[in-house]
Amino acid sequence: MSAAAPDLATFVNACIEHAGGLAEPIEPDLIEVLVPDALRGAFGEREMVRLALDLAPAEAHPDAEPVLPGSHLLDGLIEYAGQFGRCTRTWPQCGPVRPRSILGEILRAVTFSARRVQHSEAEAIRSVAAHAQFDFTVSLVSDEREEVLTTVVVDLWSGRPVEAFAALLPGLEVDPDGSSPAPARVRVTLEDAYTRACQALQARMAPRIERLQGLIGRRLQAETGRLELYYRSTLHDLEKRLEKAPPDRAPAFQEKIAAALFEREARLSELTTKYRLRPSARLAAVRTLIYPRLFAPVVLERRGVRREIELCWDPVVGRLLMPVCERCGAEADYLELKWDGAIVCRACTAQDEA
Amino acid sequence: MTSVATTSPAAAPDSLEARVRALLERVLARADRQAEAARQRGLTAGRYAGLTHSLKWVEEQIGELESAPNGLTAYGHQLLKGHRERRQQILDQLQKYGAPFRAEETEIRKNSDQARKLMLRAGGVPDPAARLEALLGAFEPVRAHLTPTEAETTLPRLVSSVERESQGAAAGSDQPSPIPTVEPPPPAPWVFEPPDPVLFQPCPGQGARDLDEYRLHRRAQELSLVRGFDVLLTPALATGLAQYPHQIETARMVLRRMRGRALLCDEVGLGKTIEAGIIARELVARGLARRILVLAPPALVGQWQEEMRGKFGLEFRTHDDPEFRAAGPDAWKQFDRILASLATARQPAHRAVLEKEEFDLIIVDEAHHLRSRTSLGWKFVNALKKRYILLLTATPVQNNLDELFNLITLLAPGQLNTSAAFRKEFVQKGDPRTPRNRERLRQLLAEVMVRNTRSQVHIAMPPRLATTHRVTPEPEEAALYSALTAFARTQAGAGGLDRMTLTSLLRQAGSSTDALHRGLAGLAERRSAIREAVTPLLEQAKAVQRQGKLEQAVALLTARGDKTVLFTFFRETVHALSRALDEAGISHAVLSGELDAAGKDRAVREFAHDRQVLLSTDVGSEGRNLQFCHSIVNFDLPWNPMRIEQRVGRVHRIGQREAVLIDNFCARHTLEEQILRVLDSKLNMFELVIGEIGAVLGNLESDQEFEELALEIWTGSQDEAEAEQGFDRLAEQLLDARQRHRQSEEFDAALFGDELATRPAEEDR
Ligand SMILES: [Zn+2]
Repeated sequence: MSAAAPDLATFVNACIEHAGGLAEPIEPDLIEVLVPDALRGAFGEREMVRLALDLAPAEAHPDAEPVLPGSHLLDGLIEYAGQFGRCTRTWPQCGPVRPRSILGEILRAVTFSARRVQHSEAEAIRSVAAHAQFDFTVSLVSDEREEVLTTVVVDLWSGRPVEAFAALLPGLEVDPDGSSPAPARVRVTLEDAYTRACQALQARMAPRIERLQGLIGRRLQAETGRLELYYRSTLHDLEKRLEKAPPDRAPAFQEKIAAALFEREARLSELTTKYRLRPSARLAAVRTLIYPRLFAPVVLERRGVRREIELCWDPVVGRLLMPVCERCGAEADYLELKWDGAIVCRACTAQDEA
Repeated sequence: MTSVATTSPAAAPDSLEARVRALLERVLARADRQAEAARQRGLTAGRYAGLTHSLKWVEEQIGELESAPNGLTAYGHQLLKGHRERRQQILDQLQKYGAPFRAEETEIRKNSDQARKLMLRAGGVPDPAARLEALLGAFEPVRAHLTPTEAETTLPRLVSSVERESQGAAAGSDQPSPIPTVEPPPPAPWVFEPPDPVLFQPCPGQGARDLDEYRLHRRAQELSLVRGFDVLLTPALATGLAQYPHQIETARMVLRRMRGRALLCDEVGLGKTIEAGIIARELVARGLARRILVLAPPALVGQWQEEMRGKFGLEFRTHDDPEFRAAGPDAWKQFDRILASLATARQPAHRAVLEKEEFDLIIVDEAHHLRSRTSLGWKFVNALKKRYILLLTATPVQNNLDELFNLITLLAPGQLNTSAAFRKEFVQKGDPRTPRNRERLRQLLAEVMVRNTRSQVHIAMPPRLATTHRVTPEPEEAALYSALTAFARTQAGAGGLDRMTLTSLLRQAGSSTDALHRGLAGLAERRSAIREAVTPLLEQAKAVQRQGKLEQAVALLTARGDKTVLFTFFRETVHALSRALDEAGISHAVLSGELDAAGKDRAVREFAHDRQVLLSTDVGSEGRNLQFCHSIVNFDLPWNPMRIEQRVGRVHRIGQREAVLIDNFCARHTLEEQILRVLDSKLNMFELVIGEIGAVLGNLESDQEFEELALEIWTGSQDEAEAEQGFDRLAEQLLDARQRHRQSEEFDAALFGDELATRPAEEDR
């Protein structure tokens, strides 16, 4: 039985290396470490230590310190690594910024209800923009605790979460030597983007919470059923005895009934507090992802009303960032230009007509 | 009270209508009884008997005076006036005191009359369905007189039957009403920890290092995630503690399948405490438990505290901790993790506070003390508010299966149904100890109970061989000890020095003259009142030149030559021994509480490497494993057998391959000699199964610690002969406790066998 996480050894080595120490492998999952100054505190002020990175070597070598989930040493290393990299910038590598035909991409992604849709390829501008990546540690606590690390990416130009990014992140190729001038197309502060990210996180976790609620419901139902049956029959027995009891014994039974009712309430409320789901999240890291995108102005005309909007092609996501309805704020693949100049989605239009 | 005339067509005796009527009649009869009871109470409250008697008498007097044939004298008029006033007073009082009850009575009668009218009226309705509806309406005014069962089960069941009938469906059979569907409570609102503002600042670094650090950070976050109970966090936390697989399996099963409420019944020696510790640690590590209360027998409280601290990093306050005492009853609220004896916790003053507190986890060790549902202990634990609860006992059943029912009901009311139903289904008539329907019972128990056995776990531990060395003290040593004993007896009798101080002096005397000298000097300095009595003792201690025990111990170590741990409680004794070993040319390392962690590590390493002897205090060796050597010497003797067991356990543990030699030293005519006589000669403590001594002490019918008992016997006796008798009685009690423990154990072995043991394969399903 192995308690170690698969990438534990990589992590331990990376920490030691980062702190300027040396790790020498002796056996699989057993290393000897020349402790760097920065880690002396975590390693009990020793210069040399042997570390066992799994249960088996820990048991075979009592002189080696186990670095396993829950051990002080691993906690120390996690704390060490946690100080760095909480707030970083990165430059993802992207293909050609300009697709073959931006207008084609636009029209493929969005249907416009306007008499005229105007766009000239030449007007599309390549411009550096940024996404903010928020890494959250999410805890779902009921009578058990479940934690996940989840990432929400928010476009700092539109202020909208980009769900498609979550799938891209694990394989995201970045330019290690990247650097560029400050992104020009930023309209949203990190604080505001964080607020949107929190909302997006809640929406993303909703299905998982619903699943958990189902599980909690089943456990609660089973336990409540058992309690209910027990107290029902207990009360029933007591009532029968009360009916038969001579008057001087009656108060004693009445007290017992009251006590049983009280106890039942207490047990049921214990259950509810035990099982109630408590979701929480902590922002662990913020990363700004900087790269150029293509911004394309589009002019819409209908019944003498004229509006210009700007759409954005994201070369990393490889598609158009969807525009939003100006009334309900939802992403929309159909937009209608209204007489008052508003650009509205299909659902909102239908509502208007109704 | 009118009786109800049935005007409706007679309903068939088991028809729905008959059942509705029967219930209504029952409720009305109950209402009548309650009205009558209210009237009686009203009368009592108005001191009816006394007052009516007075009223009768006063009225007689008034009658006589009023009908006096010759009219009244002036005095007669005065008397009559007085009687009339008295009559009015009595009437007023009757009115006043009985009033609330008469109001209650009136209210009840009004309601039941109303219900009766509705019932009569319903009887006149010709359509059967409408008649039923109307009859149900008659319950409305007397709702308050339904019993909880009637209100929650019987009546709703009838109502739904009536509804079904009116919808044309077949009348419902008399099935128990279903358990209401429970919706899970809505999730609490999301909590977002306020983010560190630094995260929103423009970041300083860039390039490759930034990227590496981000990746390192991310990996750290991933590793710190808590992932359900599949990966336990404790085994590694409890460094140096090689647990048995069954302990880990047990913890996992309790956490995952039993949702943290379980009866842990491993046979002694298999580490129930460890299992409970793992579970507690897992709950704490996941933020699921903060407030923990451990209830243990007085003799085991110290052991628990050390195990939880040393093996699981969980600090507990004990109820006799000075800070805890200083905080008064509020202490129970103030500290998150508390260790107390059941006897203390259930005292009325403590109980009142504790019952209001909410605990996340409650652990009860030696829980067979809660076998009786009428006991104060059971009621107390039942009343405590807790989310997770662990009951630990090697012997859940002693006399009958009801005991098992009681323990399980404490964890999971209803798991074994009600007491009556349990007996009916699972207990053989006329034989309260033999179960019926064994397989069904096993299934139910397996949901809340674990019992690993020694035969199934296969723990092979080498034997322990104990030798007692009774050393004849040097004359001046003997004189000092008897002078000290005399002093202690006077002090104890006169209520002079407190128990702690006396214990400490006698234990110092049992260790070495050096330790005693230090203790006496400190006492003389602190307590001027008794300086005069202490000074001669101090002089005597200074005069001691040779110490018999010390010389013999050195002789033994010289002869043995093997690696040996020599335990003593006192620092001064360590120093004295260290000097003596130096003189004898015996290499040694010192492990005492004064050293920091690194110093202790060094001492153990030196000993392991090239020293023959490790001089260790009890505190110094806490949490250290010394199983690479197999010989220990108890140079002095802790009075608490659990402490002795702890010393032996540093060496006699998993990984030990050789027989463990235990050499106990004591001087003749001392308290320690008596303790060794009781524990070694009579109880054969060193030959007991590991852990059995704890069970024996837990079975001792005493709320006192073993140390207290020993001190009481020694200081309460006139001479050694009387003390010996006292210790004989203590030995009897211990043997008795051991006997009871073994009987239960045998019985439980026959009852449960290996059926409730953890099975790793099953666990993975
Ligand atoms: Zn819309």
